[in-house]
Amino acid sequence: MQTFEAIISLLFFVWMLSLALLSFETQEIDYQIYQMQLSHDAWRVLYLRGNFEDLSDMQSIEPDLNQIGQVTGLCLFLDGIETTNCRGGFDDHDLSVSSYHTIIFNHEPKSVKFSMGN
Amino acid sequence: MMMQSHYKGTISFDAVFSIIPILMIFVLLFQTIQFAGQSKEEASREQDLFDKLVLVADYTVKSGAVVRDGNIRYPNWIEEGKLTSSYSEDLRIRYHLNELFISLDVPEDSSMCIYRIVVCEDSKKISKLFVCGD
Repeated sequence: MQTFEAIISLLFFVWMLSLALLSFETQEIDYQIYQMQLSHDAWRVLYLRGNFEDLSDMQSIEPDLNQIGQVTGLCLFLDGIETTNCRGGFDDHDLSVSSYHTIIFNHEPKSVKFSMGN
Repeated sequence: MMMQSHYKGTISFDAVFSIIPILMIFVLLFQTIQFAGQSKEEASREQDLFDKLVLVADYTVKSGAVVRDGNIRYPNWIEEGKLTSSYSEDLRIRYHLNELFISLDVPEDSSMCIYRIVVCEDSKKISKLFVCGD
């Protein structure tokens, strides 16, 4: 009889504990779509500023990348023409979004991976 | 007969004392469930507000306040003159928000803000478009 009571008590305790733990689980805002939009914004702004017209020198894109970085605090990486506004490589930053684009570089189509992170 | 009444009394005492911790456990359980419900409701409200601000911002940078040349729209190229208070007010009503602030200037105080990266005017200066609301 005592064993039976102990089992019931244990089950009740486990149930209570799981409810309490579930209640303290924080539900964070889902930023995924927003981050995707920000990444597209950055690419679009680079395009609007004429950075992809007759691109033959990767350094020509850096001032605008730096400007976006200064305004937003974001790190942007163009893998393929190895250009970034932040120190370090991909592995040194928490990259949230990546997308692939084709640009004309040195009069040749070139695929670049555009990544954004903090 | 004496023994029987003695046992009955013991059982009643036992039951009375066991009811107190059971009641305490149920009160605790009720409070925990109530707290969990409140925090989930708050999180849901914040996600809802965030999603609405994302929608408003996306509409603004893609259509609402962009530079136009005839039928051609230029997404992310903002015409600052279109960011009027009536433009914000229309969107506030459409998205059932209490407050809505859309500007290229840094907001003073608002419960939640997001930004989008844009260029503005002929100079195509890189700026942040702030969308804040409650």
